[in-house]
Amino acid sequence: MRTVDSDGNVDTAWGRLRRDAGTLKRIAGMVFVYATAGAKIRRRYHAKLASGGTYWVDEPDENEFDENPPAKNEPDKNEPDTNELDPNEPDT
Amino acid sequence: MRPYQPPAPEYAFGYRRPPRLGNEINGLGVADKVRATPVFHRHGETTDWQALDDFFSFINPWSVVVNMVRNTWQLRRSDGPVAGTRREVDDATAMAAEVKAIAKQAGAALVGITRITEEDLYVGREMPYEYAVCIGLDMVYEEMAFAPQKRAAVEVMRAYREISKTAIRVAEAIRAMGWPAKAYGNPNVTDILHIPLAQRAGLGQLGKHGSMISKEHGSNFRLAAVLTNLPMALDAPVDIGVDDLCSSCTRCVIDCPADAIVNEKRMVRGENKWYVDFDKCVPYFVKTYGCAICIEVCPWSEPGHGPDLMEHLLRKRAQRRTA
Repeated sequence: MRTVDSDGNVDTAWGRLRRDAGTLKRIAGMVFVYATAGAKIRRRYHAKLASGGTYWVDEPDENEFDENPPAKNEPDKNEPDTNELDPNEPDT
Repeated sequence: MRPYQPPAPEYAFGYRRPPRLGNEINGLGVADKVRATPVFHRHGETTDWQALDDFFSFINPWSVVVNMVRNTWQLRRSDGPVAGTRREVDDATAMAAEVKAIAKQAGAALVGITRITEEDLYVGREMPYEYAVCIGLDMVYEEMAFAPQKRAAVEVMRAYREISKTAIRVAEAIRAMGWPAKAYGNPNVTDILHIPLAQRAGLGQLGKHGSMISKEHGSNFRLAAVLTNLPMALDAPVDIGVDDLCSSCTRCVIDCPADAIVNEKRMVRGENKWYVDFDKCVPYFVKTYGCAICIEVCPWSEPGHGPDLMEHLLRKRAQRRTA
């Protein structure tokens, strides 16, 4: 049984510092995975999208590039964004 | 009219070994009252649909991810130290009014209070809190008109980030009174079912498209909650005529590219209610970074239209009864 109460002691300054450090670590992990593994997945997915293939979400290692991938990923007609990582993109 | 035509429900992704049907996990056709099981959008635990959820996270545009990251960072303050001196509550009605005023001042468009029941929690959760302060925040309609494009997805995550801020402020104010309180503002990390709570708190009613409809904002809003033990007067559910509209309106049914919305209520975990076919909806949801077509085409979502629509629907109902 998982309680919905706090996962850690946040009553002390030290406890809150540990919580903040843990959150920062989690965020850094999220961004790192999005930028590395995520970039690979996005590239492979867009290659499948352009070639008419299927990206298998439950077997990511089997999603090799097509033999003749397009020179440039062709985005969806209605979606101009390629979804590549762009840290300079303005928020909202 | 939407700026773009929605893409076709054709997918360049899928499961080689499909998981258990989401509708089955959701309890579609189950006549017994049972607690909900997480299907999608979980953090810290694996669900049957985890692979698609992960894929969804990875294909989301950076501008959406930025909002998620910022929300995660601010929500570290969802819980915190409780003041040593507890303010006793003699008048629960006055306390409810005070908390609602704090929420409104912190940016909430809608606020209501209800008691938490077991059915409001996902299976496997325990609840140390008694009350939920349910909060709604409207989204920018002009941005949401871009659904199901990236621009609308960014607006959705911006709204979640803003409503989290409001929930955190309310939770902090309650903790400053000496009562424990925890803010819930991240759609991906939640232990509670926001919609049943918000319905009982009087924020609106469930629509045919599986989302809440409020009198003021239709479905063009997002939910968050603050869970606490601070005694407050409870709100009552409202009847604004949503069933009257949804039983005859087919706008979301027609406009849903995935055909996930139907005209009849379904039995779901012991309750006959509007239900969206998860297994049809979620691939399109993933493909389009959160879709949201159904909530934006809902006639109730048009700004300023809701109060008149409610009045009209309730008047017609009264006329039918007297005829």
